[in-house]
Order: sequence, then structure tokens, then C-alpha cells
Amino acid sequence: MKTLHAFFAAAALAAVFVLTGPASAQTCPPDQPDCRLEPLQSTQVNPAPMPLDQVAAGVWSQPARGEPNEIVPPPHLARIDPAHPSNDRWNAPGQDSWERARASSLEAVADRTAVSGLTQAELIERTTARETVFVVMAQPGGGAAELFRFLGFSRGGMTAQLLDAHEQELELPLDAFLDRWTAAGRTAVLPAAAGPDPVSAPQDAGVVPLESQNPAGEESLTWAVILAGLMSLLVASVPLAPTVDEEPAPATATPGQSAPAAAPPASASGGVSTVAAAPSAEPIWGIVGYEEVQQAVYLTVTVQEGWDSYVVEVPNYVEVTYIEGYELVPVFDNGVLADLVEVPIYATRIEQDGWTIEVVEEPRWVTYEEFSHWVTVLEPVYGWILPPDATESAAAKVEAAPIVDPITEEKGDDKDLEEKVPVDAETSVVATTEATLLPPPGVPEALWVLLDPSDQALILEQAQAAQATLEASLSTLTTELEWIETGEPPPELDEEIWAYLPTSDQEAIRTAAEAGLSEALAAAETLLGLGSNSTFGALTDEELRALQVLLLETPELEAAIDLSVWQAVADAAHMELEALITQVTGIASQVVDGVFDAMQQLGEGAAAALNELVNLAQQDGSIEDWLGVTLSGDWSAASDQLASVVEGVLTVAYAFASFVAESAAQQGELLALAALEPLDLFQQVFGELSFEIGATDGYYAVTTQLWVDGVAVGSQITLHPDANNAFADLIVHELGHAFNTSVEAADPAQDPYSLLAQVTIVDDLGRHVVGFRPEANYWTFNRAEEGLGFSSGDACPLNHPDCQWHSVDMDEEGNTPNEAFADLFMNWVYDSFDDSEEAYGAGIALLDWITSQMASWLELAAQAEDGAEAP
Amino acid sequence: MRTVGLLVGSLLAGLVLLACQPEADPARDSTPAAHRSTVPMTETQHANLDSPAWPSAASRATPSPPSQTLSPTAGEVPPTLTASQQRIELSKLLLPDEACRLPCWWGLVPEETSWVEAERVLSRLSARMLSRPAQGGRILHGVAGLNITAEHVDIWLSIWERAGRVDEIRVTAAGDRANPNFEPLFRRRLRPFFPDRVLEQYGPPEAVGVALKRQNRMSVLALELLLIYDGFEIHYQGAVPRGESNHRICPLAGQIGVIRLDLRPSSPTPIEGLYLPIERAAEIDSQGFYNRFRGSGPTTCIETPADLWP
Repeated sequence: MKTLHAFFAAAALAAVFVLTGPASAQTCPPDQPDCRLEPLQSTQVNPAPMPLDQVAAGVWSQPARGEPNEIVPPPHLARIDPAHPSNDRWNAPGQDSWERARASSLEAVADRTAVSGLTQAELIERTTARETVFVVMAQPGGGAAELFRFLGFSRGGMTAQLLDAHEQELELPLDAFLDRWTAAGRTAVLPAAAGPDPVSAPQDAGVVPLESQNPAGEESLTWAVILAGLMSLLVASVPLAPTVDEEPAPATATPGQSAPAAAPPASASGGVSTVAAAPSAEPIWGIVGYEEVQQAVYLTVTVQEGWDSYVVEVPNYVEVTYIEGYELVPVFDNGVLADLVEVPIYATRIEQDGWTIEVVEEPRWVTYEEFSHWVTVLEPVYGWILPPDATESAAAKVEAAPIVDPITEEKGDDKDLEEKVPVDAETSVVATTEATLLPPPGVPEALWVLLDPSDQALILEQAQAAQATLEASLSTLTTELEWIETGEPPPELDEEIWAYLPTSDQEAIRTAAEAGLSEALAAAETLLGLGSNSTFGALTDEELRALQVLLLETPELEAAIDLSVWQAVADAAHMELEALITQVTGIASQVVDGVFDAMQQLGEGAAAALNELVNLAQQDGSIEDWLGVTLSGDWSAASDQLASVVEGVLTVAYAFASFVAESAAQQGELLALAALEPLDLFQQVFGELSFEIGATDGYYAVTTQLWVDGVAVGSQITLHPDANNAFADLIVHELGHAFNTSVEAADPAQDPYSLLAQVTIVDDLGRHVVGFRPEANYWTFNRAEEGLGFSSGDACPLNHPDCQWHSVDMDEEGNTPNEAFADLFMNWVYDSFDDSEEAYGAGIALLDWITSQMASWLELAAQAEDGAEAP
Repeated sequence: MRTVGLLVGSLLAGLVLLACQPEADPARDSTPAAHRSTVPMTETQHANLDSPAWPSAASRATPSPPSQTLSPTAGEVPPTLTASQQRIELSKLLLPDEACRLPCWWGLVPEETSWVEAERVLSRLSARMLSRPAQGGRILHGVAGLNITAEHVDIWLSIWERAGRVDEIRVTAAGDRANPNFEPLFRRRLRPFFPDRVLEQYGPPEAVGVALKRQNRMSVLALELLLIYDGFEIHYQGAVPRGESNHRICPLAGQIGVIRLDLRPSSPTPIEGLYLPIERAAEIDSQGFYNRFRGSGPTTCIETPADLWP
């Protein structure tokens, strides 16, 4: 009886400590107006505020208690297929896959057992075994533990993907995950049927079937009950020591946080242990070394094809190759090459791995060959697989073989199960067969089964052709490397091109080639031949690859490849520079044009444009990472808009940078900001900024302030999906609204709207230009009908009429400080105020006013993003 | 008694002074002082022709020096009209004048009238004037303060002087949408210069150009309509609603907010590139445009295919 009391007391105590955290965000009853969530508000473009139901999805809204939780696609899945029209099943909230996945996870909560002291490898094993695994993690900095569903490791094992109790996606860096997991005793909640791991589960304590804590044994076991049960273990001081096979626990205790029970060093050497392989009907899980993995044989088969027969050894592991960062898209599954894979890329993305740089543009189906950076995971075989080279028509005689342990590979600490395969190793991975339609290892079954059979079949059908192409490519890459040995330039390298390379670059190319670039540079032979006979235009894959090596190359080369080299190659190829850049980097032509346009507007020149594009191409990230913004919605048919976003953001970033540099040099102001690169400065000023393709209530673009707890924390710029024409200046106009938000967040009294409403700007003739108009019958904010001061009519250098995107002529909102300032901001960025003689100083008056305020605004906006208090 | 008399006298004087104060304007009194930072706007001002050269565009990081202050021309004290008198005077001047047909404006004929005469005419209107050197060896005289304020109609002139004569005149008249009655007031005041009356007065134009440009509101397009005559051009600016397959341009239906007259322009506006010729925009030629709109009403429109425009 005492035990029962102790349990309920512990459960109650745990509920208090555990549940208050996650529940606190939604504890406001609907009938408490002072407690309700801050709604999204303050639409910049009136009178068309974005309807709340159109902006509520996402991280900014939390459902109130009693309201159904909206299933929000986790970011990584939204990232996977945000654009492709056929991929709604992945990212549509409330539909298909996520409904089913959620249902699956809820079902899986029932009938579970808590296991403590798991190793990371064991966690992976559980996950790859398609088990639904929950883990307990301590809160950062201490506090009660929380329960999360563990989805797996991603980004090459560098992060852990989890779902919290609200179905919200959480992606933690590996170290952070391990810290928090270890602090909670490395506890996981596993299906009861699986039982404790015979190798790693603690033998003495810490494993308490939840059924014993939940006498009712209800199927609908909730997260809260699980948490309560788990926490009862903690409260009862059950030892949570890691067990055998455990690598030394990282030092995770933080001040104020109780460290987990001391973990004895693992007994296995190097974090890898070997479990004796004994034939058995039941797999015995263990960890073996890499060499053993390579040698393990699961079974042998005899394949009969025509008159020929041969024996094929089938390893007892499955080799799955993913494009790194996109683990749900296997391109190389058990030796089967997916020719066309649905790659989750909705913007230009660069993959760089040593000497290889691959760029993929736009959401689309791509070929496996377009990626050179992937991760191969060796996973144990679960069930039956078809042998390589077997076809449906082949008479495959399968001979039983001793079943050895299903094995997996671990290479020490946090890089286990990960291997980056060099190109020349591809041949060892190839196979040419149809494969089973078994779910790809590592892919949650609940999601995999939702793939259309036709999609799966398509991947398999393309395998043969892709393999042939791959082999041909590799053949080219591995020939004609003699020039490296002779110390001479590449034999057929056009001297005109080679001469542009500094000696250091030539040497670096040679060094890089010797170090492992030989395959790619061999293909330069074809490329360079083209350079000499002026038929550069039709670049083959190999030639393109060579160009990429030549022009993007390794990090030590990137700074030296300047505009003249690119221009020389472009000239030799009879191509426009922009076209060459597009072809070499893979960056969408619209984006390339956008960057060039931005730099041209700013007078920065082609070198600056090239520099930014190379930065993008060589950065291991997407356009989002590069610009520091978030893209959401369906951008698949919005390449022009994307280019406009790029151009607009760059234009603002460089305008800021120019202003800051000048202010620092002349007035000694903004020195801290002057040290930032343009895009870093942009991010510092704007903070949370997202661009979305979505509903705009009849506008090309609408900017919405994002509020959290009564504080404007950022802006969302929504672009209408039909607004296909390029209009970077409109993006800049909208960024003017977002800029106001950034300043307002720091000091609501100093934001541009407020100040503009209080000032009166007149021109040299005394004509009212903009602002408060203290004349008879006015006494209000007013903006000249003709747009005085903005370049009017024919003189406007921008795309919009009269250099005003929201003029007085458009609607009544045009005559507000909001829209007037956005147009002012745009003309300040483009330096396009009307300074003609007929403007009578109106444009200069506008320029002077906004310029006189800009330093303090920038300081405030940057300060707000730093989290400092406003003065 | 003398003291009492002084006190009474002082009291009466004080009352008189108080009574003579302008009536307090609640709105004005409630306005923060910062709102009143305006430049002087009442006195007639003539620029000194020796004023500094036109200021160049200021740096984005360095505010320009304050705009130069105008200095009245010494010795000239033109008669000052009250606001009411100015409104009446302007109203008269905006009526059709058979003796002064475009490109004549208020009696000023480009390439004929001397600047001295022009200055005399404009001075009567209590206009503010500013003169500066302009391109091509000309002098640009800006003329403002011709507003019919009560109706929110602003008019300003740019007059280029060359060798002592008026060379070119640009007249801009703008309504103000801050006034809820903006459109009828503006149309009433500028009626003679709306397309129907211009066509009636001056016959078929040599060319008609149309331009529709995007604005942020997808349902509205910015309108620019251009009538070109021998010796002058008339630009109309406004907004038209976006149609499904065609956009309807109805110049007399409240779509026009700004009218600009370029009288004897030194650089005639090229239609190609900036506008679409009416022939292409609406499959109607200048004569057809004239026939349709001459003496027309607000329901007279032309339609232009939507796919021609952004």
C-alpha cells in the first residue's frame, strides 16, 4: 500500500514539475481575455490585414487549451517537399501522411516499457527497427524532464529529430541532444514487446514496465501518464547508470542541474565491441567493426541467367545512401540506384565535400549523379531481400546460409553509422537489379507506405540507366591523369585559361588533384579541348564538373578565382557571364540575374555579384541560410519572385552596408555594425523575417508583423502566387514595412511611421511633399497627389510607376505614413529620389529626412535583434 | 477718478485687443508644436538669379544642407490677394480663354512673352517664385502657392526662360484624395483640361498614348494618358480598375487625379517605349479617340486588352 501511495505521490509530484513546462504555453482558458494569446496583428498594408486563419499556422501560434491541436508539419518535412506539387502528402497539415503518422505515434504510445541507460547505438537500432521510440530529456539548464518522440538522426548524424508532446518538431544538435538525454538517464520508452535489450539494458533496476504503474492498462496511454511514470522512477531515485557498451557520458551537467548518476567508462574499447556471431534464428544485436561489416555474409544465392549461372554473396547489411540532410530520400538503397529522386530542394542548394561541389537549383526531380555528397548508412538486414543482379526472369536459387548477426557499423562517438563515400568508391556500391519494395531503412514505415507504388517503381525502373551513366562518368573521370605526374599543366588545357590562373592557383589545382581530384580534373581534358575549338557551348556533365572544379574548387582557391577568370572562360565559351555562372554553379538563372541586377542598381559591379554568387555556391546551405530569411509556401512556380527576393534583400543589405560604412567613416557612428558583412548586417537589422507565397487579399505583396506576447518580433512578407513578374523594388518597399517593425520593436516611439506622421516636409517652393500638413482644411497626414519628390513618370528608374508602389492614386491607404514610409525607404535604398530641377528640392528634402534618421533607426533595429533593452 | 479712467481705458483696450485676436483653432491648439515646423509660405518670393547652382543628390549618409531660403526681389512689392481673391482669380484663369489657346497660358505664350511680363502676371497672384539655373542655359522659374486650398486643388508652374523670354511652360494641377470630395472638385476646377473639353477645343490630337502600370494593389493599375498636339502635350495621371480580359479607361469617371500640361516642350515625349499608341492599346486611332470622347460623359470609355499590360 505504501508503495502505491509512494507511486501516486511521485506521479503527482512529477506531474507538477513535468507538465507545467510544456503545458504552460496553453494554459489560458478561452474565457480569460487577459490571458489569451496575442493574435497576429498590425498588417502593414491596410486595409487588407492578413486573416488570422491564414497566418496562424506555424511557430507563432499555439492552440489554446481545449482546442484541437493543429498538426503542423515538422520543419524538416516542410523542407523536404515544400514545393513539388505532387508532394502534398508530405507537408499538408491535417492530411495524409501526418495524420497517419500522428495516429501511428499515438497508438504506439500504448503498451510500452521504460528502459534506462541506453546507448546511442541502441537508440539507433530501435529506431531503424521501425520501433516507435520515445526518449526522456532533461530541460536545458536543469528542471524536470520531458518526453519526446525520437524520430532519428539527420543531417549526417549531426542532429536529432524529435517530436514533443504537442507534435511540434524539435531538431537538436547532436551534442545538445546527448546532453539532455544523458541528464535524464538515457531513458527511452520502448514497446513492451521488445523488452529490454539483452546487451545494454540495465539488469538491476531502472526498467519498470509501465503497465505496473498503470493498473488500468488503458490502451490510450497518454504522454502525461508516461511522463508521470517515468518521473516516478526519477523521484524514487532509481539508478540510471549507463550500462555496458556505453561510451563515457559527456559532461552534461550544467549549473543548477543535477548530473546523472555517474556512468562508469564503457568496457568496450573505442566504443566498438564485437559480439560473437552465433547462428541463431533470433538476431543478436551487437556492434562490430567496419571491416567485419564488409566481410559479413548473410546468404549466398545462385543466379541463373540463360546458360550462365553464378553465385552471389549477399551481405547481411543493407547499404543505404542518402543525400546528406535528406534522409527520407534514399538514392542508393541496398545497391539500387534511384535514377530520379524527389529531392527536397526548393531553392538553390550547394553540397560540398572536399573537392566536390554540387549545386541543385529549384525544386525538381534530380538525378542521383547530381549529388556527390551523400551518406551511406550500413544497416542490418531485416527480413528478405533480393540478391543483386536478380531479375524477375532470373531463376534465382537461394541457398540457405548460416544466419549471422545482423550487424551495423559504429565508428566511435557521434559519427556512427555515417560514412562519406568517395566517388571512386561508387563502383563498389553499384548493383543493377530491381529491389524489393521494402521500406528503405531509416525511413519511418508510416511515411514510406504512403509513397505511391508508382513512385517507388519509377525509382527502381530508372536504376539501370542511371547506373550505366554513372559508370561512363566514372570511366572518364579515372583516365588521363598523367599530366599530374609530369609537373606540366593539364595537357589540353587552353593556355588562355590557364594563364589567367595565378601560380598559386595552378599549384593548388595540382595539389588538389594529387590529393584526390584526379577524376574530376581528368574530365577537364574534354572541357579544355572545347575551349580551344570554340565549341564550348554544349557542356557535358563531365565538362561542367571540370568547370566547377576549376572555378569553384577548394576553399583555398575560391578567393583567388576572380572575375577575370570567369570572364575569360565565358569568352572562350561564347557565353554571357551570367549564363556561365548559372551553368557552373547551378544557381537558377533568375537568381543570378537578380544578384547582378541588385549589384548594378547599387553600383557595386559584376565582381561583387560574382562574389555573392560564389558565396552562395560554396556555402553549405540554401538560399535561406545565405540570406538569413525563411521561405515558406509553394515556390515551385515562383522562380521570378524568388529572384526578386534575392535581389531585394541584397539591395537593401548593400545599401545598409554602404550607409553604415560611410557613417562610421565620417561620423564615427555605427562602428559595431560597420564590421558586419552586408547580409549579416541585414539579418542583424531585420531579425526574424520570412517570405511566403500565399494569400495577399488582392495585393502583390503584404507585410505582416509577427507578434509574440505583445512584442513585434519580426515580419512576414507574403507574395501573391500570381505575381510572377520580377519586382525587386516591391520587395524593397515591403522591407520598408519590416524595417519599421524592427525599429518599433526596440522603441515604439521612434519608429519611422510615427516620426513621419509628425514631420512636415516641404520643397523649396513650399509645396507640401509629405507628412503633417498644417494648412486650412488639412490638419492631417498628407502625401502629395503627384508624388512630389519621388521620381515621377518617365524619370523613375525602377519598375514601378512614379517610384511609388503604394501611391495616393492606388487607394486611401496610400495616403498614410505607413505606405509613404515604405516608398521613402525604397527610394532611399535605390537612391532614386527625384533630384531633377523640376522637383524643386522635394526629393532631396525626402532624402535628407530619412537619412537624418537612419543611423538611429539602424542602431535601434540591431539593438532589438540583440535582445537589448530599448532606451 | 483719473486712475479709474485709466483702469477703464486699459480694460477696454485689453478687450479690444482680445477681440481682435484671431479665433482660436481648437485643432491647431491641439497640435503638437513639432507639427508646425514649416517654412514660410505666405510672402511672395522672387529668387535671386545668382543663387547657388542646383544642389546635387545628397549622400545617403550625409544629409544635405538646408534648402536655400528664397530672397524676394528687391523693390518689387506686388499686390497681395486674399485667399478668397486668389481663388476667384484662379477660377477665372482656369476658364477657357479663346484669346489664349494652348500653348498660351494665362496670357503667357512660349517663345513670345518676355519673362518680365510673365513675372508681372504671376506676381499678381501672390505666387511664390523660385528661380534657378537650368540645363541648356535656361533659367527655371518655379511658381507655387496657386492653390485653391479649400478645394484641395494645387497648381504649380515651371517656366523656363531663355534669353529673357518664356521658353517653355509646364503646368501641373493635382487634386488631393485626402479630401473626400476630391474628384468632383478637381474635375470642376480643371474641367476645361479634361479630355472631352480639350478634344472639343483643339480637335483630334496628333497622337494619343496610353500606359498602364502595376501598383501593389492587384485590382488597380496606374493610368497615364497622353494627348499630343502641335505645340503642347497633356498628361493625365490616375488609376483604373483592373478588368478581367479588358481594362476600361474612363477619363471622366473619377480616374484622373493629376493633369500636367507641357506647353511648347523642349523635349516632346516619345510615345514609343513609354506608352502604347492608342492604336495598339485600344484598336482606335487618334481620330476615333477624338470622335468618341469629344463632348463625352463619364460613361464613355475605351477598353484595352488586359494581356497588353502587367
